[in-house]
Amino acid sequence: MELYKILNNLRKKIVVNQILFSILLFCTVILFLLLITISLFVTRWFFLVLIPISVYIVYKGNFGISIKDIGRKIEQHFPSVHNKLIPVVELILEHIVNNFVNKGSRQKSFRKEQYSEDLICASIDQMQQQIANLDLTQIINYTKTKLVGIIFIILLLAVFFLRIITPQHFSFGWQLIFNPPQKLISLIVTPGDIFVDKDSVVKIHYQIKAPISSLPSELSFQSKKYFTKDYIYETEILANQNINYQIRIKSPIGLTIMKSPLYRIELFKPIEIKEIVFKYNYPAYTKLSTSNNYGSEIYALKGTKVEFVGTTNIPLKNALRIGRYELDSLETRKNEFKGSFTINVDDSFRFILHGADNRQGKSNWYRIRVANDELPFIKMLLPARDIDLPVSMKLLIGMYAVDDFGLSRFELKYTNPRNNETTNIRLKTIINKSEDSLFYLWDLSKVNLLPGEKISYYGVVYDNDAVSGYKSAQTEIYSIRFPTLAEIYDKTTETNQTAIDRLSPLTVKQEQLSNELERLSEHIKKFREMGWEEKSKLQEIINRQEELMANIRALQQEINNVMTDLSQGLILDKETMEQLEKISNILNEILPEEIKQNLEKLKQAILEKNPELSKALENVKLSSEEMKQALQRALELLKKIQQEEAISNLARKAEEIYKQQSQLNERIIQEKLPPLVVPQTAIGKEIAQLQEEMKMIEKNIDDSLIQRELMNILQELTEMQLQDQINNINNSLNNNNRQAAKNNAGNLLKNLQTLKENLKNLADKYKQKQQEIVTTKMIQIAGELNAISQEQEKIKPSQNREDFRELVIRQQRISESVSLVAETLAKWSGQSLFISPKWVQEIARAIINMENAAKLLEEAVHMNVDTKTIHNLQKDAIYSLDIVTLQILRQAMLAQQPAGMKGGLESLLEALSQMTADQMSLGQGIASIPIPIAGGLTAEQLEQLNRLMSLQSQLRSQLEQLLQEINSGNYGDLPGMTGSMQGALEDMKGIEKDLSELNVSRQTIERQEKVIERLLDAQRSIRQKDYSEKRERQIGKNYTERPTIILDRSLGESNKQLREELLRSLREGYPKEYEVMIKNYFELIMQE
Amino acid sequence: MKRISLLILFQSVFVLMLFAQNDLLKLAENQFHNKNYEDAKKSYQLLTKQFVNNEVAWFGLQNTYIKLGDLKTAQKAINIELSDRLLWGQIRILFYLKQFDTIPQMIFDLARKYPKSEYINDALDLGILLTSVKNDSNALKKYSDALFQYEMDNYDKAINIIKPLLIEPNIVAEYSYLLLAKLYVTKKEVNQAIATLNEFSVKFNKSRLLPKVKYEMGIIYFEILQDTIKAKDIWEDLISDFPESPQSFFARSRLAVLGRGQQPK
Repeated sequence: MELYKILNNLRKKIVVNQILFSILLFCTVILFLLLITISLFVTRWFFLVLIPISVYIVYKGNFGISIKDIGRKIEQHFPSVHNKLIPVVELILEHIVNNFVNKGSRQKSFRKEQYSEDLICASIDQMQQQIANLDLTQIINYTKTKLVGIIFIILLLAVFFLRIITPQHFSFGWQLIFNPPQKLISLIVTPGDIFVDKDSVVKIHYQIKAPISSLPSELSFQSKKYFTKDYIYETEILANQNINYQIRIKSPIGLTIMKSPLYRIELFKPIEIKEIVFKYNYPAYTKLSTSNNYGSEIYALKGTKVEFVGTTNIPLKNALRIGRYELDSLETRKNEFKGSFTINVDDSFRFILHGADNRQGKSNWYRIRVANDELPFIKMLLPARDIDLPVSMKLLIGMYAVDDFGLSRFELKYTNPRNNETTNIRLKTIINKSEDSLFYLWDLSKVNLLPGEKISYYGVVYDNDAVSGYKSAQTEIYSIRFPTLAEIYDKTTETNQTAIDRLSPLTVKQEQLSNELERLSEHIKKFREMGWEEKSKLQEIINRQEELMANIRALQQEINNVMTDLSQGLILDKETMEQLEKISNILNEILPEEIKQNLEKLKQAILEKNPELSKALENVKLSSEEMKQALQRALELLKKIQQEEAISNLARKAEEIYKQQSQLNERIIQEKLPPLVVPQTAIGKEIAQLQEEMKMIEKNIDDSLIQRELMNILQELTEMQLQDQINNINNSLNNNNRQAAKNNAGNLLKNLQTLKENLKNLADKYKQKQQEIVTTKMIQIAGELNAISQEQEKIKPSQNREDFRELVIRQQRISESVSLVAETLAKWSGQSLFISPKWVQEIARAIINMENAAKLLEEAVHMNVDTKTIHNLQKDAIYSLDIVTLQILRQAMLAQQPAGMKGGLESLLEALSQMTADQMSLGQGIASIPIPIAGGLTAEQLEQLNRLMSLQSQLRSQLEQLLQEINSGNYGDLPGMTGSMQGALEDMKGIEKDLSELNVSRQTIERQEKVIERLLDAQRSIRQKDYSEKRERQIGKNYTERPTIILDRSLGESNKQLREELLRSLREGYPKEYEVMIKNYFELIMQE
Repeated sequence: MKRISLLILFQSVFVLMLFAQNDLLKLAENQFHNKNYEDAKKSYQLLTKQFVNNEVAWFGLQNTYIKLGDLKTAQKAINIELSDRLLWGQIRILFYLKQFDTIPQMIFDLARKYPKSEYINDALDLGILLTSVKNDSNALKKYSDALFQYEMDNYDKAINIIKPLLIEPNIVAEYSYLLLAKLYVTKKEVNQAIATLNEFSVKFNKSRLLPKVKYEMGIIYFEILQDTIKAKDIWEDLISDFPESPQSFFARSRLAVLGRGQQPK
């Protein structure tokens, strides 16, 4: 068993070698780890690497190598024994096993292979011999053991080297292996974990204490990192959210040696107001119920008391409300706080809340906005325009006002022109109403206006805001004027000019409309249908046409208003009224009667796609053309009237100036002189103004004859040197030289008389000439028409067909002649209001009939035509011609009447008007006498009294005469008229008596006022009678009984709403041109 | 049977009366035409008495009174609703009675009641005259006298009245010339008539009646004197001098007819 021993020895050697290798390797690794850990301050946990290495070493150590394995290694190493040694080894092992087994139990040895003992021994011996020659130690690997040993020694040297060179470092590293870093390093961090307010700045400070210096550290929070090598570090962080931060102490290579715990910077959780309710208690005057608000904006009226209750997320210790102007301590209870404040100004505030845990919180800002109590709105309903002083001296004022919370009172304010003082009349106190209207009859007699003076007035309304003060609003300022005669004269000129200015652009527009209609009509004729585009265009034309008509109606209304104002005015100028009536008539003739109907039909036709559309369009076209011509005519007429009026006004103004000078001359005799300079200078200015007007008219007038005459008058006026005379009078007045003043004023009056007469003659001449021209032309046209009519009579168709050829020619020529007359008439209709455009239309009918008759006559030459038809056509033509002739004659006759169209009533009115004016002048005289007459009168006053008495006496006798004429029926039936005049007469007698007895008292003045009032009453009655006769005379006609209308129960309410809406819309503004329409509408509503 | 007999009797009487009425009317008309105005008056009076609604009789009576110069009776005699010609007669009477102020209203009444009456043109002519001569009532009165004499067939008397009126250059004078020419034509003194019209043309060369005068002159030449050339000349002058007057158109038609070679009638 020698072989076995050899092999076993070899195995032992191998195992020893392996063990040595493993130990060296393990120690080398330890040394390596130690070196790394100490030098780099790597965490000691790094040594855990040893565990797997140890396991590996043991596992790979091959410490239990078997004989067989050794045999195999030998076979591998020595080829000579390849595949030979192992079987031998197996046999040896088997033999050893069998020997071991049989030694105990004496049993037969087990042989794997049933070789003989000898064979086995032989083979073993053979092998033994072979092996003995081999160096078996070659299979033991001593090289690796040596290598590891060398490495071990190197590392060991390195460790020692480190220990020697950096003993502190080595020591810290060595200790770090056996101790946790916290034991070796001290890290002091402030503030550590902390609560801060949001957005506050947190200062982080830390200090490192370690056995060695230069240990780097790193502060990290959120995603940021701050690296430092200093032992002490400080930085600031904005705490806008919760932040975690940590400090790491690093090794030189950046490995973490130690780290601090994760610190937290946490934001304070605020004291939250979970809910807050503001309760508005509005001021009592608003009558509004309380309301709640949950928002951060408090918007309420001034004076509103706001109560609030809030709840927070934590119990509160105390709470404050801090505003810009206020600081309130609030009542707190558990989580609730409450308080109140009153809104006075715009402000903002916040709550400062202290929690029971001493935590403090601030709320968001709350904004207080003072809501404005809106200003009230007031609208003047009546008269809502500047007017002249009414005849009754009483003015009905209508106002409407509205406010958001209520009204308190209406007032009327007016400014006295003499001292510019504003007088306030409290009209109405309003309680519990946010909307109200007022009608007040204002007695203007107490204002004591004089001619030429004007008072301005306006309505004021106050709201009921007692908290911030009563706010007011006022209407527009209107004026009431006591017009002078000159102003009334200018009224027609103004009105005429307004009409011309407004009509001129309308004429252009109408022409455009006519042209567009013509084009559309042509289009329809050409294509026999209308597309969408044409229909839209047509609709647009209709709208424009209607708008144009509305404009004309508005203008008519304005002129009627002027007339109404004048007719109600204190002074009625007949000529002015006549001129205005002329203008009104001109405008009334512009709109063709059937145009509205035709437009409606056309609209209907468009909507219903009516085949009659073309016809309807044709009718509208005709109406439009007619309107165009009417507009042109109106413009021409207005210009004509303007010229006529201008000259007439000159005469009337001269007359007025003469009257003024005449009165002044009387005052020069009686009164103190220096104060008279002012009226004298005023007269001088009026004369200069008149002269300027004369010059202007002289330049512009188209009648050369009148122009020449006017030039002569102007020349004469210049020669009169009136201004020098006025200067002389003024000098005399200033020097108190009565005689000189009297003489100079006398001369001036004479000159003014000449001027007035010249201008009157000129105006009369101009008017007469114009009238004559028109009348002559009218008569000529009437003659021509009658001649044509007579000629037409002569060409009745006879039975003789041969005559028809001649009749055709004659009929055609007659028709042509009528056309010519129609043209002349149309042309002249623009020259005079007397020539109606309707005559032209009638003549046009005659022409059509004549032309048709001519055509039939022509046909009758060749074929059988009913001559009766022709004759009827001719008859109709004659009828039309005769009608027009008759109308012309009627107008010509009217124009020739000496007083024009003036009736008896007008002359009565004129007399009364004059009488009133005289009585008023007398009244002014009486007013200048001191009351009571204490200590007797001066000689001058006595003379004045006598003069007044004589004047009163004259007036009384005039009135008596008038009364006599009325009673004898000269002016027709005037019921109730004599009553007021009789009263005036009695009062006049009373005044006369007072004056004769030198008993001028308050009663005398009141009597005088009464006389004027009665005379004015009488005039008004006449005017109303005249007016109603003119306007209301109608022929009775049948009417169908209307069905009974059952009114809607809510009609009143809806009307009110409608009115409110309308007023609100008025408040928002409206185009100026609608104002008249809106006012009329209101007046209508009020009347209803 | 009795009823039928009565009916036949009534019918017979009616027919007899109708014949009597017609006969009487014819008689009166003959008397009128023969200028036996007194007898005519009696006949018409009888007729109007017997047959109150006979308008023709009333018209005859009215004309007879005018011819007799008994204007006041003529004015009051009519006891029937006025027909157009009766109304026209009343207008004429008013004119002859010189009640000029009331005439316009009568003319308007005539036109309103009988708008297609053939008398309207004459009435309008009168109206135009009255309107034209408003300021000269004395001349108008004389003119009225002249016209009245003309209507009473007293032509010479009429001419005598009218001649002084021709002196003044006024509208009555213009109308007087026309009336004078008419008088001469009636008296068959055509040349005198033409001379009168020529005198008018010279004297009133700016008158509105001039085209009418010229036209009438042409008519006299053409229709009475049958002097086509002269008529043509006058009408051509008229057309050239007063192209816009209606008479120029009438003249044109006349000339056109002449151009076709038609003979004057």
